[in-house]
Amino acid sequence: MNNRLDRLFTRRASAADRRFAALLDQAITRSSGSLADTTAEERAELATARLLRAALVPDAAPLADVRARVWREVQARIAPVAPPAPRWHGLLRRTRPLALAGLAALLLLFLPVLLTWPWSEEPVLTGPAAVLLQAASAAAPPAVPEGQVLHCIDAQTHGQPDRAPWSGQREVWLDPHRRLLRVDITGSPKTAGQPDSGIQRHTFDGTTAWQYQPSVGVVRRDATTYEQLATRFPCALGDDLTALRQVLARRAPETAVTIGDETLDGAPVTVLAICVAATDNRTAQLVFDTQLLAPAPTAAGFPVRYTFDRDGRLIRKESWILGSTAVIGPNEERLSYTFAPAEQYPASFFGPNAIARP
Amino acid sequence: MIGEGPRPGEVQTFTALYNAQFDRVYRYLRYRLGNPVLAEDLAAEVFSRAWRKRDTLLPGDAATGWLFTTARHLVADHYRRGPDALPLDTVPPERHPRGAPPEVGVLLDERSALVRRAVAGLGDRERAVVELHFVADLRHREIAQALGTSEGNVAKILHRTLRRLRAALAHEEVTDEQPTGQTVHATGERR
Repeated sequence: MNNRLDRLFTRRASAADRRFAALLDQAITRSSGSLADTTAEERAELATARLLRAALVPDAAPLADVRARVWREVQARIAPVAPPAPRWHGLLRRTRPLALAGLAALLLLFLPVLLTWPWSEEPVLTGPAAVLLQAASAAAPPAVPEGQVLHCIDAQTHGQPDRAPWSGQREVWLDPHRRLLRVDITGSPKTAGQPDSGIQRHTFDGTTAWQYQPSVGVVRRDATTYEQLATRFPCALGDDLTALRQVLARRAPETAVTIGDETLDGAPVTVLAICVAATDNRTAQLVFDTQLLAPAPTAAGFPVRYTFDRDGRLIRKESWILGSTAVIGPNEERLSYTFAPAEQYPASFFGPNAIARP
Repeated sequence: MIGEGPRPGEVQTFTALYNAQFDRVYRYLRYRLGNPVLAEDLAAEVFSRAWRKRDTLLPGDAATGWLFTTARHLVADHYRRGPDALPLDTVPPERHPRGAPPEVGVLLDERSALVRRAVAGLGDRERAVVELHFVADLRHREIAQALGTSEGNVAKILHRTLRRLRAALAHEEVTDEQPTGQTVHATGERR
């Protein structure tokens, strides 16, 4: 009741409110208006408005670069992903009525068979499910039927010597052409507040960004690449930053610096970590530079090698994702990954307990 | 290039909308999120959705209102997902691993910090009106569209809130005079 009365009351703007609103809007529309007849009270309020404008938007730098960059991103997100039309598309369009009539005739012909077919006796795991299970163990999986998106769930558990075990599942979606559409990794956090908690989602249909909780990423819509705009991982502050930068500065170019060792899926990997800003005495932010250096691409990890120059600047970034490689130049923030065809995924990518759902 | 089968003129209309509104939308998102990269991401999402809604999106103030309503919802969704990591804006330049040069930093003076704190202390409705007006540069009519209220209500809220802020800032001895010789704090910022 009180809220309703409040709304009724506030909707009734006074003449002073409306006059002051016009004065404020003048500043936005840059329309000419005389301030000569304003009262001292109004001038004081306009001064407050100027103060707010200056304080809240201190950075009035031109946004042309940002505008152009986002425009490209908008175009990428709304661009169609339909495969190129085959050459006979025009012929098909011209003969569509005839084709439809033929289909109708065929349907009528086989209608009795379809009506009497024992659909309910079909086994549960057939079609795409069987195909995907076969794909998980076979080097050359058969083609996937058109028009179906496969869905694979892989439950796995990671154990690391110095941390609590992580358990979770990875869900993989493939499109009918066996291109990777999306990977969701959900898991119980190792420990509350540990950096690996959260949901990691790679969506390749352009609708959802990478959603690793502290990260921001954008996925392009062509279903084969995505651009990771920035990643920021909180991490335990285990090393003194100044000392780390000195180490980096002393290293020759093309030499990766490694700090710490961990294991991933039982294989030893090296974690390269640079912690930059302590939020308190125990946590910090890791900018761009948490990477796994594995001897070979692993199923679960995305190994990346960073190379720094003598000043500690990133000059090269190499990434192997499921057999693909990406490299960026000095000080670039975008990294485009190109994914290999799904046939080249290691069988372990799908996991031993994979099940498939159409 | 854009979408599938846009009608004649749709691309031009959408491009004009983008060019007219991008700066406002981006500045608003950046202010709300404190993160330029995330602001770019959400700005792209706002305009992507606008393109998908182009059939029903009316030109003029209604379109502006829709853009900012969407932007506000996206920001709310972002915060609903959970706390973000420490914004890079708060990373001191000397701690940045890539040795960001000092010119990328933005100077925020004490006065700005006080004003931001005062705005942050407002109620949701009041803060939204103030942010949409002073950060996004929306007129009263456009704010009314974005918040789903009347223009008169916006005028009333803004006028009343400005008085409150004026009193609060006067209490802190903050004025709109140009600061001279005051202490400033540098804050690192990635571009």
